[in-house]
Amino acid sequence: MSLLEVRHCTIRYQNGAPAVDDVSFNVEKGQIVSLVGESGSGKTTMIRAILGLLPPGGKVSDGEIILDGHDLLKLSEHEMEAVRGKDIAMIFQDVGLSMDPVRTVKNQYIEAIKTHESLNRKECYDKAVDMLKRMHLTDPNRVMNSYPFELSGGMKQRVGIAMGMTAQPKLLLADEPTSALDVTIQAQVVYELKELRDKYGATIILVTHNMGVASYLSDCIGVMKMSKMVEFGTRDEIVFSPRMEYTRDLIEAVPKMGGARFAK
Amino acid sequence: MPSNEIILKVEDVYKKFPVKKRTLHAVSGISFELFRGETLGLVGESGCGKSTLARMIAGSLPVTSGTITLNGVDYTKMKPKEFRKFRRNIQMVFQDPLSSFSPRMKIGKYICEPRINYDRVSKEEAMKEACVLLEKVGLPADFADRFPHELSGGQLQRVAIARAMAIDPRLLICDEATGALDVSIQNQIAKLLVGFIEEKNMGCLFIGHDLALVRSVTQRIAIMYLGRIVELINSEDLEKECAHPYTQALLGSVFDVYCDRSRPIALLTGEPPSPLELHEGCPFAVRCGNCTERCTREVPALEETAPGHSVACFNPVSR
Repeated sequence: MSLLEVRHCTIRYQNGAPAVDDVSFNVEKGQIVSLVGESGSGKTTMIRAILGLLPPGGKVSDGEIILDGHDLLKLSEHEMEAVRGKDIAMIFQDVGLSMDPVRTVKNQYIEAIKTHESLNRKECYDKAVDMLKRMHLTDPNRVMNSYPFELSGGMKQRVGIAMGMTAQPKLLLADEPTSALDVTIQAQVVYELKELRDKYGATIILVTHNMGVASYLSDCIGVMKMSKMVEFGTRDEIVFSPRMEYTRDLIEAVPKMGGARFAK
Repeated sequence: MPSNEIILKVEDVYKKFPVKKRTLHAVSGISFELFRGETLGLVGESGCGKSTLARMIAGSLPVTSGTITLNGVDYTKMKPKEFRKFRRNIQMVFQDPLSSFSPRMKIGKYICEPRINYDRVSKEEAMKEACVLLEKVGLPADFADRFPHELSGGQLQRVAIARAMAIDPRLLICDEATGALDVSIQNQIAKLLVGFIEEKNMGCLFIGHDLALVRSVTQRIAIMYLGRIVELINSEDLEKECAHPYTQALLGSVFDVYCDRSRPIALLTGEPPSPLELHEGCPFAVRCGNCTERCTREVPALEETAPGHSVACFNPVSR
């Protein structure tokens, strides 16, 4: 059985035209699945719906989202709170913005752990430091005592991934986790995500517009265009033998190191 | 095709910002030449001084020392009144189109403005020209009557290019001009820019972080690290010839669509040192695999190793 099944999911904002239209896909345990497509194609709406955190006015009007045999859409808000952060965690594009600027990382991290586990402060702290170490942050104690503005973009992103992974969620959702970063830092984050899967068996859904990153990390790729999933297949199918013209164009459009040059 | 007429000459430019009692070294001794009809790429991590350099060349930020000359005229020491007239020679296209537009100004007026300001043409004539320009950048002429929020990011970027082209600048500076766009749109904008540069035979400075894209639209690329150019190389030779360890690390961080998934990621560990506390020696030494004792004492100068290829490194990668 798949870990996550999205079946014929349709999402609308204020009952307008669907932002996600009849989308279905499966995610197996231990897989990395990427959703790619242009901005406005509904990628982010799709994964926010899985987390049950659609922006105001957004509603799943049809379909099912099944995690481990339970339909998430049938859960009450209270039940969903227990799922969020424990079974499903999310990393945002700019972790810095999702953190409280006037509280230290330690303060926020411990609060996040306490929400889901009954540990004392010391145990929480040790757990947090352990997670930060796994993310290859060289001086976790300094990171813990820093305010978000004292950390670089790459460090914040790794703190975000560490926080998301602390409760060992069944499913990690990553919304453009590398987009705001420099190429060198992006490579570090990609490395951490890959290791999460290879070493700790995490299941990850990655939303990205960077085809290169999607191609490197993913087992399966879903291509979205104007609220529809136009193609879903294994990485090799999508990259090397796409069936849809749109997928072909999208891959064609990505600048490649050995590719054609416009300038003479 | 670039000619061998030098259009822009940057000589030993420094920019220092006072930060409390310390000094932030944003740009430290940069020199390069740009030829007519040439596009030079400028790449490097955020905070390496790319945009500071661009702003100094655009004349919106004074230099601490050094000279910048356009067509033989040094404009770093010009009086503001004089510079106001000179400024038309340099135009910029920015990263985020929506925030560089006034939300209440219609597209047509936005394109007309420089022509009316600099050349004192009549409004009617400027508007006529604006419509021609709009069509030239691939937009319908009736867009002149729209507001910025009615256009998509790619369309706005076309308008920004149209405005920059309206007064025939000698130098165009694109600061991450395609950074905020989807890949499909990105290519169209890149092609449009290259077309204009060839047609008008001007110089262009193209700042970007996507190495593959920068390589595709430029003739030469300057790789910057902590306020210095560490390598200057022909775009075509980038992959095969690059010799600076930092350039290699940047190339290693690019994920190609057709990449081999079993290839381990070449990681550049650590962060660039703070520009507030410059250490002795090569700025890249702390993250460099080829670092020797000399690197921690002396700063390597940018030296030409082959025609069109300069490297600032004591132990360049050998091939």
